[in-house]
Amino acid sequence: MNTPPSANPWRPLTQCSRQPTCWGCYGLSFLLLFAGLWADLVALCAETVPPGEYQVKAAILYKLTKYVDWPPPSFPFTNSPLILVILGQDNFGDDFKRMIEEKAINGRKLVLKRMAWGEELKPAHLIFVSASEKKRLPEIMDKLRGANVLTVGESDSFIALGGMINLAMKDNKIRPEVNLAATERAHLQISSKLLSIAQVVGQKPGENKN
Amino acid sequence: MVGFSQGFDSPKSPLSALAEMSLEDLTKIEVTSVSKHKEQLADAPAAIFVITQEDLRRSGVTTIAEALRMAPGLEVGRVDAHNWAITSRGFNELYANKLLVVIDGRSVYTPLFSGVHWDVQDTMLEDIDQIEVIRGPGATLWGANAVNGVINITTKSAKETQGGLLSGGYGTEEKGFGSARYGGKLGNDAYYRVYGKYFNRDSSALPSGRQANDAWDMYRGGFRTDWEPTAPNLLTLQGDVYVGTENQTETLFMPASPYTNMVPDKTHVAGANVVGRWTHTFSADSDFKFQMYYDGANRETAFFKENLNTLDFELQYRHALGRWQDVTWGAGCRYTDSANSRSNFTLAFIPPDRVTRIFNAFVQDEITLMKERLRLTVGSKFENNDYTGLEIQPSARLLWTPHEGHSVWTSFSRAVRTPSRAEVDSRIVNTNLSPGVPPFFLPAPGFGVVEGNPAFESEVLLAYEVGYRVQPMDRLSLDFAAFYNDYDRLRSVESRPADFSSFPAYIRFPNVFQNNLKGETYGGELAANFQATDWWRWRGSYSYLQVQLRRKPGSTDILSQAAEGDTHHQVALRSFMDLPYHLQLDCTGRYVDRLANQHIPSYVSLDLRLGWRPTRNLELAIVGTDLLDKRHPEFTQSIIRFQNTQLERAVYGRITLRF
Repeated sequence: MNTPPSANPWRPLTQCSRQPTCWGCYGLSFLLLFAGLWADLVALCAETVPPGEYQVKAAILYKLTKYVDWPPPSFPFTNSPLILVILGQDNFGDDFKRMIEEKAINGRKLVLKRMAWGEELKPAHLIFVSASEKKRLPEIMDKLRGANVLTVGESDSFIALGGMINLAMKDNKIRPEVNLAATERAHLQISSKLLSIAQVVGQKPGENKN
Repeated sequence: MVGFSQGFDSPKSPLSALAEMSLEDLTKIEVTSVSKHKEQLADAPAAIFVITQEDLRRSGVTTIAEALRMAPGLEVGRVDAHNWAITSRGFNELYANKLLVVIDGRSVYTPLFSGVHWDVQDTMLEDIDQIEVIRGPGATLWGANAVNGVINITTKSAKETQGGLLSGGYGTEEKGFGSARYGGKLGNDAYYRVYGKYFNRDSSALPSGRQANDAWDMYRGGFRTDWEPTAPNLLTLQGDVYVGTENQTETLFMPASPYTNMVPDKTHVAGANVVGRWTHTFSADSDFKFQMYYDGANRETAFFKENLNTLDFELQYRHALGRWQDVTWGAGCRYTDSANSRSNFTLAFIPPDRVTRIFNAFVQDEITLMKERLRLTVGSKFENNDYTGLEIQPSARLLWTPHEGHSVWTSFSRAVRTPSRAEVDSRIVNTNLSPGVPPFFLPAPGFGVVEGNPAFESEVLLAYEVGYRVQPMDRLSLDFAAFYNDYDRLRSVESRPADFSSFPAYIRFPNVFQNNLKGETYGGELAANFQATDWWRWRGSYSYLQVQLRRKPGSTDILSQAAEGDTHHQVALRSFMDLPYHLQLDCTGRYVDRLANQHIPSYVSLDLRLGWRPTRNLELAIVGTDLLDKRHPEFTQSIIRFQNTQLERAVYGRITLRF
């Protein structure tokens, strides 16, 4: 416990090689052992786990791109990619990216970007507003007003604040809600197929407040 | 479910199976929700209050310490211009020792006095994302010394602070301050920001009205980079440096005439830290974090000099375990080297240099007992420190959400406060008795001395908490928490027989730190948030606290009476108004009950801020603090003697420019 005066704060670290009973060495080997066992345990349990919320959300986002038509100026070139943006905290891990790799919609490659509030959002075609941005929603909606961008969210107030599609969670299932007034304002065409699956929630144009 | 199980039976991976399912089938899949990890306030089974960036901006505070006045359950007393006594749920003193403070993953709790040097805890306030205040023990996750509360300060990522910001101002107590930040991009996936700031603060007042000798100034700079080389990996590197000077008048003792002397002095503080963090996200419900930091802090006065170096490593891993459980585990170690090279008659540390090591491991399991209704969180920290060996700090928390908008939680936890160097190694002279005067008629000058005790043990808390959160309507939310804390082995100061070894030069009256106090505290806090209209928001809080301490049999403790120096009642009401013409008017009114043992009367304070934001990039503000009194005392100090000072009414103006 008592150590002689020394100006070298790192001394305990360098003692490891000389002290066979060093705590750090024990700790490290214990950890490695524990980590190994853990990985096995996790692998064992993984089989029985249903898909994660964000795996399904990723699949739904991917599908949505098939059911929405953007106005022609959104794509300057015939091969312009379709840009998907995750705004705020990314809960997808690398699942979303892996899912849309090598995929194309109407000959357009899909590009996934993560962005934070404050970055220029306009080149995006679809913006998924993470639940982490709940407090900033009015500001975000305000900034995106008039842009031909499909906004998708996952917050209770998303539609009320002018968002277009909300991925609501009901009975542990993800049920999209569509705000037609908002998509019309942005000149986005929503296919009737999507409207038949999603719940269409009303909000008259001009009613959204900030 | 049908569609999904078909997908799983095929040899394809679950992900590509999902991608090939129809939208209709996707909406029928039952999923495991992970929203619990991005814990919404309403879901946390603990008493939590969050101070947001908006709160910081609109309160007009200029220091982190002052910002903490917003949180219910915290006691904030300004001792002088640069010293604060801050605690959660009782036991307030200059180095209040039951509160853990973390800034971007870096613990700023000093192992010397087991307190926080609030004067050097600072950053660019505009870059703070939030200050999370957890009342009650957080030891299972945060480790020893998170006894009565945790304050977790996080700054925004570099990505969120792009562009420039210039801010500066001047006022009656704020004698000039300025800060600058610039954030930019480094290649495609990396962002950075750098900042610098300076302030010069005026002295507070003596009870007579004259200016005290406690003006101070500080320079500070820092950086943060966030790099996402590949999607699931995030690497953060950040650091700060600071240097400052604080005027101070100290009472020094000496073994020869005049025995005691009040001397004007300067405290020189300087420090640097660097934090590196790697986060890897495996999937939505699994991630891994590794962090290491170095922190160096120097502090020097006429009678004290400390060089504190800290090196800390920790890792944390989270994964779902089956369908209903979510497990987090981790481990860490910390080396601290505290070198005190200025031993003298007033204050000495023996040995002058001490290296301490802490090793810890923790595991926590969140178990869903009833889907979306009932959740149990159990876990424990296992921590080995050089003073007291292994400390086990378990907790169990239960959250019941009968339906949306209502939640009830309860918890039981054990936490310890491990010994600090002051309690083990120190020798502090804090009183001088003149010879030949009543009531003792000493034959020689006497000195009261408090000495460290190598056998000092950890203080132990068993905490019982309940809480209730309700949102009776969209615009109103209420948060109620109550607690009963049972403490044992609390620090006491025991007198020892007088020591005549230096007679006739002087007589020593030694006292020693021991663990002979026990007691209970109980109380509760109510916090309310009310959005009266779209342009007018109210926040209010009330805190109640009762402290009862007792000596154990045989104890001669002299501190227990002084320790009960906490305010029983505190009320705060804040109003935020968005007025036409881009004006904002914000008011804070506070009532703080008297501190009986320090003879400090109750007070009511009023702070006002008028802000004008003519464009998105320009903001002007005038802030007045403590407007109701010319000056008032808030807190006095105990073991180490400085001047007693009072807080003065203050006004300042600020201009902020963004580009």
